[in-house]
Amino acid sequence: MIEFIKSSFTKETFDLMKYEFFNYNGNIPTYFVLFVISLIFILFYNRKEKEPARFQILLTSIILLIIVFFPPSFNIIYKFIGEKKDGGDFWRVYWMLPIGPSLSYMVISFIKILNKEKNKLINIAFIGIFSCIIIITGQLVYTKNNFQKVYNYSKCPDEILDIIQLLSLQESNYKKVMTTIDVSPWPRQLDSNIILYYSHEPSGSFDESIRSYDNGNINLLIEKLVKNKCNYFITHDFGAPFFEIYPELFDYIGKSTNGNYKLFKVIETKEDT
Amino acid sequence: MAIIKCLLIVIFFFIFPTLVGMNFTRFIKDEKDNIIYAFILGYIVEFGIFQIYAIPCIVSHQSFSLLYYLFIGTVSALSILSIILNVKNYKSMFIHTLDTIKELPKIATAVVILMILAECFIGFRYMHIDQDDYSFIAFANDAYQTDTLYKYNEKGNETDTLPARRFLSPWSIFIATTSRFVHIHPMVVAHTLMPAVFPIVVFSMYYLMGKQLFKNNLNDTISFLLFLNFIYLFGAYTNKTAFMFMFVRIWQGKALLANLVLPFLYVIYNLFVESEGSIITWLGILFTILAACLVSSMGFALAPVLLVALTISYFFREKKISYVFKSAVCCIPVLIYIGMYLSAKGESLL
Repeated sequence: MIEFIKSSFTKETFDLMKYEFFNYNGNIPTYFVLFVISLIFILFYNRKEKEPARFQILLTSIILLIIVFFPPSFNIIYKFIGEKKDGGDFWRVYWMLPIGPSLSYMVISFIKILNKEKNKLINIAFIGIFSCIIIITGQLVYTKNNFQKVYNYSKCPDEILDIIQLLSLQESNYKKVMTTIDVSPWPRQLDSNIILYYSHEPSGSFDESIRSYDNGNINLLIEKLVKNKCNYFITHDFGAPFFEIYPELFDYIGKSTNGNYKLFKVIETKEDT
Repeated sequence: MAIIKCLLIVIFFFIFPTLVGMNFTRFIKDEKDNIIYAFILGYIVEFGIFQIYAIPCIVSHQSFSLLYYLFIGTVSALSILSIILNVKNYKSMFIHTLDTIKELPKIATAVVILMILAECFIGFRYMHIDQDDYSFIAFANDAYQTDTLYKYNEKGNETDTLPARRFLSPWSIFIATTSRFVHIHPMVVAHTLMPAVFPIVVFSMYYLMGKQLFKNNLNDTISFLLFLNFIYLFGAYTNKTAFMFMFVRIWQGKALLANLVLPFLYVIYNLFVESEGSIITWLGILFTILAACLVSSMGFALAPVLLVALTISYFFREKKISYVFKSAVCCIPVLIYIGMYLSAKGESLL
């Protein structure tokens, strides 16, 4: 136990802690700094009274921060949730910290100290000032990168929904589809009768299939499709035109509304019913 | 048909949780007439009940229908029980609600409500694409369309192996249950309905927290909510913050963990201590831990750790060993689920 504690205080551990800290809080961790300031405020605010915040927020946060930043406990938590080949989830431990409520509590309590006469207009002015601080130091969540307009309630990109619905309407008991990467997350969300050649970001031999498609290597692509019993294929319109060049291999079914995606049936696959 | 679906949505998202919660709040002295407390506690209890039913059904390869009828049957029974048991309380609840509305600062409250409604509208109208849905919503859709529980993997192939972490946190199946009740496709429920409803749930929970922090001062509570809204709106400094998850991925269990369940643990634990360790509030903590396990496998780790931190914190104030024991008992379900997870992966705790 003592050895474990001693061995936790290494440069590697501190580098990891630093990485995870900035991973969650951003390169300029303004919210976290304000959170720490709010804890210091709560420590000294209304000391004579038993403020609920002292235990509910302050002491709990101190204990959680010790758990997060004390190298032995950090290493234990990191071992269980931080180490993953595709990126760990350690940053989620910060969700336990009451950052939002603590900040808000500090601001409202601070305004009460400044505005002892409880003038409503002064209250509004102070809330406005502190809101400006948050606006300047924070990052608005409603941006074009985060939200796009679509014309369906499934909240799937309209064209992708078109092409998947087209596939869904095919009268076939067996529908196994190879799609482009951007389409792949969607078919099974809409129709559980669709089987996917790969479910998400392809790697290994799946990646090879996509590259064969991108490179126009029709023979390799057909081999993959037939071997894996895929009887449907969704492609970009600007993709390899060899689908139209080889009509004996692919049966064109249809396209999305704006024509950016096309659906083909693979004729060679015997698994048709 | 649209009117019936709207009615079912209101029943499932608002009426059921409130009625279920009222079964518990009637025993909490200071919150007996608090309809918002009933609403939030009802959600937590529903999540806990679903988790209790779901794991045995999944492990024993039952149909989705069985789980659905078990859950809806229980919730319906609790709702009817609530209607009957609370008959004498309706008048006092109504008066209390009216008195509360009269005391609220009008302009600030209107601004807060408008902000929350705007957030609901944006969630309803606009799309955020998240790649994790390839599995979450796919599993929900499988249950909804094939009446099975995790019988198919993400690619759609039939499998006997349960996905180790996913089946212990069957939030996808809860989405499927919601879909079946309101007769709307899981994609629409997750991407459109839940983003339109859950901000109301989250900020109602923060209203309760504000009341605790400011000792029932409603002016300060509304100011707290108003400023908290700003903190949330501008909290997208990375794509990992709880604030970001609230707006862009609220239908995913982990977003509910970060924004509803974990913060509610602060609220219910404080109430547990204020009510001197009453059984009802202790049950509230237990259901919160179960709810954390339902919504996300991260709940297995984060909820107990937070509970430990709260227990230690309040031990400094109250110095009651019984609270420590009661908190420890609430962690037993987590130990069971961790044991099941390790068993599913072929590992051992030793």
